Amino acid sequence: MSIRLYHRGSRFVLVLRRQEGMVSEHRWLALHFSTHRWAHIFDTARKILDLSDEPGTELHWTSDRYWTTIDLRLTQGSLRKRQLIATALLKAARYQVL
Amino acid sequence: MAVVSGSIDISVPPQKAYDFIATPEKATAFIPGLNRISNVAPAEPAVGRTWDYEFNWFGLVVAGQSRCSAAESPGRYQFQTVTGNRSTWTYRFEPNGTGTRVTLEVEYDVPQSILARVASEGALAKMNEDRGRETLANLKALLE
Repeated sequence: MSIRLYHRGSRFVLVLRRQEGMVSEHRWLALHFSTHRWAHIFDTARKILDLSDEPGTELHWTSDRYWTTIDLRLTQGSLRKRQLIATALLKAARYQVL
Repeated sequence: MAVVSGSIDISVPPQKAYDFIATPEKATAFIPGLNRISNVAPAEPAVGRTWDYEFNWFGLVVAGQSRCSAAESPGRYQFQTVTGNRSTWTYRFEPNGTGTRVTLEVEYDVPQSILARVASEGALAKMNEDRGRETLANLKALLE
């Protein structure tokens, strides 16, 4: 076992907006010096969470050289379920091993 | 050794609940503070399967390895943390009408040095009980 101050290889992703209600909408901002394989990261995360064929999960991102904005919109499931899915996808954006 | 346990009724068949729990990568979705699961091997759930975990504990990252010690589909799934502080996580799945009663029991070592830092064994037990309850409630929310 090891104890560290940070996760090795993690990505810096900030939460810009979080809106919960009948629909959950989130906007995240990733800051980076090199491009990340967001398609691989989120396809893997969606497969793990059984969201690949699930309607009601809209995830889009726009990448520039030093940042990527990620938008998530969840329209189905209970509020708690939507919060857990958003948290899991945010963890994937930050910590998933490539 | 300290033990925390709890149960919850989930409106899905035992096999669905078991398959969900037996996929280590899904744990980041329902276990509070668990941020990363990696190096799961082999791919199929079986006794001896191992994975690496990284856990956020009071702002520090605790990293270690776990190993599946029982995979009795769909009734019981168990794994142990094999590095650092030892713990054993046992999930039981019992049919309950059209759903499943999921019971989680966590048995863990509490090294005395950690006890000194948190000042009270009772406070640590309460924190782990709360975390166990939240884990089961999160599991229910995700599966239903």
